[in-house]
Amino acid sequence: MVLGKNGFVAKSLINHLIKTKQKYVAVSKEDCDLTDKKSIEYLKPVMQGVSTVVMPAAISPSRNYLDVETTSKMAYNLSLVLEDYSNKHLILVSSDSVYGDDSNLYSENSKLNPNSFHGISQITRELIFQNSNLKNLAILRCCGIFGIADTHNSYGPNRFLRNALKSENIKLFGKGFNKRDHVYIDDVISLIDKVSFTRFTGILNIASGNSYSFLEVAKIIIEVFESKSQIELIGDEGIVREKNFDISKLINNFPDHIITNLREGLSLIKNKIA
Amino acid sequence: MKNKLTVGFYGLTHLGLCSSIAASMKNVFVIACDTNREIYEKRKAGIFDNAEPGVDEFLKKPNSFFKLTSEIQDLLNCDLIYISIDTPVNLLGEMDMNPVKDYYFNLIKIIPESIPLIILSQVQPGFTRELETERRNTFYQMETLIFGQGIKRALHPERYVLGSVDKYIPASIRSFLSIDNCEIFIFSFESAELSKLAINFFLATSITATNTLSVLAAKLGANWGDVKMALQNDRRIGKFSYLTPGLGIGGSNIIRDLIGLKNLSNRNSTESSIIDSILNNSNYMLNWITREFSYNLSFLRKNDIKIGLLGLAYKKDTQSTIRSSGLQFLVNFSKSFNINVYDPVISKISNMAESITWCSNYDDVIASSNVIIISTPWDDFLSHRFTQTIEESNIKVLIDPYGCVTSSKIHRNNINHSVIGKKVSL
Repeated sequence: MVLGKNGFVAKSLINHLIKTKQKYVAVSKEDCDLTDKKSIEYLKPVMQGVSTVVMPAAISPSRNYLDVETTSKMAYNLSLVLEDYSNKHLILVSSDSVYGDDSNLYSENSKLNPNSFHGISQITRELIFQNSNLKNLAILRCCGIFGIADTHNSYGPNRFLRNALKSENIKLFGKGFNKRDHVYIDDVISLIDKVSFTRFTGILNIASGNSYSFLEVAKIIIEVFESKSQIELIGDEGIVREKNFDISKLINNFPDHIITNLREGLSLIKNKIA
Repeated sequence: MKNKLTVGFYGLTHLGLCSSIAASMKNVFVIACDTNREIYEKRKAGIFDNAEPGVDEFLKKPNSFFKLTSEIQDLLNCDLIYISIDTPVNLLGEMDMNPVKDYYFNLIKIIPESIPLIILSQVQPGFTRELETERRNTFYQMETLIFGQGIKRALHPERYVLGSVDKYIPASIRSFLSIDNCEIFIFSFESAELSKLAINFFLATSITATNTLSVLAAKLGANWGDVKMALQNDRRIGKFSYLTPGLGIGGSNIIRDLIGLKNLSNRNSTESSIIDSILNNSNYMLNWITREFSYNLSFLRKNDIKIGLLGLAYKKDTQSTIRSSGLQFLVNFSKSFNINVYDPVISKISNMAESITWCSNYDDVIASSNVIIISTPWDDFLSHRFTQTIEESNIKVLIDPYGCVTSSKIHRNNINHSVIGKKVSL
């Protein structure tokens, strides 16, 4: 079961499931609004024939208290559905925002230190399921995901890519020195498939293991897409934070997973567009 | 000249065995006892850890001062008795003191109070004081043996540190320890017991500092070997410091003491976040091979990859694979890859994946692999012949954390060569 079927991750996952001829049930907000208690009655019977539930659905990014509340409600209602199905494998697509934004090399053992409503909403979702009776819970904390089908247009590769394709200026905050890890959507989907196949449980950071400054990202995008876009520096980026990930746990659990680095991912997008 | 003393060692794991053999080599009569039948039978058959220098050979042909027994009554003839079982650890890596207590209480049932008992096992501060209330004439002695150098360390101690209830030690103990002509410090139980943990804590901080800086050095394009020389020549650091980077803190001993200290610190409400940092760094380094392999994976098609793993022991001169980076890699990666393995002292580990081929020499591993990982720096892998074999092979990737291979031909042959502390260009 894939929840939130119109979202970036869910859509890409569904395409993959179709391509690999796997059976799935996809549920959209229109089919069943997880913030509404009625969703529980809707999902319970559907859940019967399902082995794995993939839950990317959330208000993303959660920008305020109300978004946190809505996202939490979605997770809570799903947890009520799963009360009768404690053996189902739930793959919760979470975010690296749970760690906060301090400069660090993060691993799954790092302390949770969110500094945003989004981080709080993601932790709340995690806690709801961790405190449920689910026996098979996988929490995938994804770094910024990039791909052509992105729906958020958030600051970083996705927005810069759109700018580059339209030859618009790429606007960077400050000098664009903040550093983040960006993971290619196909890698995320491939790992969700592997997590489902192996019935992995526990927490896993989904990252590439290589962080880039936003300035580097913009330059690579202009280069890969041979764009005429210019880099424009605007405003202030605050204290420069360099957020890096140690992906040893990911590699140890999925040794044959080949990580697509930023440049390769962008080249793949270019080929897809062509 | 024969020394008149007879010294008992009760508990014949690494600590008791190496200590008792070394004592007999000092011409002291030794009664080496273990009432655990399995341990006793193995020692009798000359079996211990064939990588620990000198032990198996000695057991097969002991000297005339050494008597091996499984009868606890034989210890009645001793002038002093060491309780010398290595303290095991539980699943959390914490000391499990129960076996040490069992050995102690077995002894005090039959050994008269006139014979001093010395706890040589690794203990938490406060442990010996508790025992001393059960029986006077009980002492603690700090041990600093190292796997792979057990007998050597016991033969040449740097100093002795003893714990006593009133800073007094009997003449028999003093007489035995005086043989080595090194300083004897007599502290309270707690000071002596904490000294042992403190030594391992300081070693762990050196290992962590070295690993932290060597990984950074590689990123910065600096050569850790150069930095190491600068550090070794600083009087405050010195040539015996742990300045060679490695794959985390292997084995169980140092980790056991760090966890012990962390628990003590928590119980006493003192700040000890440095221990968490050390443990985190150790885990990070334990995965160094994993990360290097992963970086290389992008450059090799998965189907072309034939992995050769050289070394499974967590360090050379031991059979132990506790917290061994090589073993961890093997367990995780054999799920997805065929791996050829060779370790000079570990011929096979049972119940492992069928994708593993156990080889009896490194030539076979190198000949059938294009990715070589040297996870234990055995002397064999430091030899000229080994380097030559690598040079003449068809390997594409050499993951060599300890820098066993130093040949410049490696680079001319376009082999991706990863060494901790050295910049690698892919």
